[in-house]
Amino acid sequence: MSKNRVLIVEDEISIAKMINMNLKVANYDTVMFHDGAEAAGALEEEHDYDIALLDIMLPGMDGFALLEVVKSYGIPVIFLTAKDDIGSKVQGLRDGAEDYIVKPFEMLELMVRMEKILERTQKLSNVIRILDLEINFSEHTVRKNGEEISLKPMEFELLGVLAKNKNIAISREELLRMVWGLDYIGETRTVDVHIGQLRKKLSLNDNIKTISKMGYRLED
Amino acid sequence: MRLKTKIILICSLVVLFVSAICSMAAFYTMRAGYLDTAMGQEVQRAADCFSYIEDRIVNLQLDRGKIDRNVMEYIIKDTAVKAGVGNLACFYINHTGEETAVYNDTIFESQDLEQADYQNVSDHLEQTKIKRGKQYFGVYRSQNSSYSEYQIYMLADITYVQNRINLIGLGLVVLILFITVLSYVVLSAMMNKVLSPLQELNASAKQIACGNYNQRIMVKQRDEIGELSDNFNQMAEAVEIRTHSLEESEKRKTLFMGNLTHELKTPLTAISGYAKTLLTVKLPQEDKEEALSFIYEESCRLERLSKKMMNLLLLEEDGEIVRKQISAKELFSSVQAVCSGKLKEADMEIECHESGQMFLVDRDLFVEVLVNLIDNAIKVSSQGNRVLLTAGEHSITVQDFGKGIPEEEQEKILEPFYMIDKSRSRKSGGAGLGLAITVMILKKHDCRLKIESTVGKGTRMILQFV
Repeated sequence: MSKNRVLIVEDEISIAKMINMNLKVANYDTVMFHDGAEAAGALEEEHDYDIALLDIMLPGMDGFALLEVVKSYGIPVIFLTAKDDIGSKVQGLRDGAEDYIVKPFEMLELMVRMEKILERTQKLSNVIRILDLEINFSEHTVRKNGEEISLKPMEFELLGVLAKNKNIAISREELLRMVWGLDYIGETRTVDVHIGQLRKKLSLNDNIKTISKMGYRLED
Repeated sequence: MRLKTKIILICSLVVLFVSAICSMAAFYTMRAGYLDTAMGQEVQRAADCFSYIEDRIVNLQLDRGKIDRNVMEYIIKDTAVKAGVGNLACFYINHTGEETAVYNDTIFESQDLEQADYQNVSDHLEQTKIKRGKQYFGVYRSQNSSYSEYQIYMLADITYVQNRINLIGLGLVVLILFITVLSYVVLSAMMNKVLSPLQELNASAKQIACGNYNQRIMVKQRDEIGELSDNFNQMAEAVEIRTHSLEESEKRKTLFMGNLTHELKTPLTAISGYAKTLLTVKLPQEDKEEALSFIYEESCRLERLSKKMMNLLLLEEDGEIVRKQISAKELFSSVQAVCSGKLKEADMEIECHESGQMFLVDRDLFVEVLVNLIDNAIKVSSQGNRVLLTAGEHSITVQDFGKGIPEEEQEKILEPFYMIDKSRSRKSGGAGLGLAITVMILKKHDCRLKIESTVGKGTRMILQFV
């Protein structure tokens, strides 16, 4: 399975590295630039990216100008910026950015939004392989060592979310929202029950870890 | 009532009153004069008439002696016919003083004529005026001893004079009304012209009240209204300047807050992001360490920022500074002591030039100013460059041989949070507040900051004491 490649252009090194750190763990390939003009120059050489995360206030070339360059290579763009005035948002989205996220942001939110865009552009692979599991999203099947294991729909969705955000802890509330939907009025117990089922059926007792206060994490 | 209406009304009334009084005076004088003139004109006729009668009487007396009433009547009648004189009357007075009419061609009785107040005109001719209904008469009589038992009157109808006078009176009334109307019209026109700046003033004041502060009045007059307009314009200008400066400072504050928020957001995003990452993500050891070091760095940045902000706030609030005489030598050595570490790190040297100048400054604050400027100089210089620190008569110059500041940036660098090279300044720990603080301190010292810079050659920051 090929990893999705992400272009990060962010002049705050600390933030660029933070995004980088999280995306790497979640199985993305990343390339970082801290200068707009540099990024534009490098794109001329090589532009095989699935998605780009751009800051707006950049040295060299600002995000709006860089957007044109990135768009010309057919790469979808998410703006990631401290500019939260409505004018910039409208301009960014109208100019063709897929999304506009204002700092400070949650990594999980960023990753879910990226995932949605990759799904839409069909860059997301339908199959995730993790440990000895093969999760096929188009067929809705899970194979462990080639042997198909039957899961209930919600168990499959839950496994999907955990696998897509592997090595990252997701809280029960977030899981509830992401799997069961925003309007689901359920208790976080539901999550615990389904996690228990996954652990049992796929013998993932060691790999689905309970992180205190933070939720669950699927580790490979 | 409008001021214009008031003034016009009062003035018109005054004009009416004055012209009425003048006209009345003229009218009465003229009437008296006219009557007298008319009477005077009749006097000659009366004198002729009387002398004719007297001649006849004297002739007849010589012939016959005493004149009896029939003869008298004949004489008067004859006179009336021959001399063409109407309005004659003759009365016989007996020894008891009783009067009987010998001849009376007038509308009066003897008492009416007797009782009037006569004035002497010539030797024995007397005259008076009598009014009956709408008619006026001039009455003449002769006091002649030759026929003392008879009293002869001659009346002249002078009603035509009165008619003429009445006509003149009517004319005067029309004239008064005309003058009043004319004065009303003229005053209205004048008032419009004189008071138009007031209306303009009023309109402008309304405009200003509505927030349209650039409103002005075109002043054309050199009177009180002109002065008022002048003063009003000055006031409007003062208001405009004041509001403008308030707006400016408000804008600056908003910008400052915006920048501050941005400056806070970035480190906070990093800190919370790394903390969350550490808590939720399974990271290799080296990444964990890196995340922690970023958290530490960003917190330090926040701390520095808050310190600088406090400085700025304190400077803004605290009114007075303590200024003391300090020699350039002492000042420079303090600065060198503070900066030596950074200079060594950047492999740079500082050169001080002074010749015993003294400056009246707050020592700590001024050291901070110079350290700030030298910090900036270090940031823009490459390794091995020098920084010159020179004391002049009323100035101190900090000169570097670094990148220089483009002309369009020279104003902006004084604004809080402004950084020419953001990423580079961040790396060296800047928050973009150094020059803002410097400017604030200099302002307290009545000291101006002059920037002379050439891109690629370097910058001279001149602190000019006023």
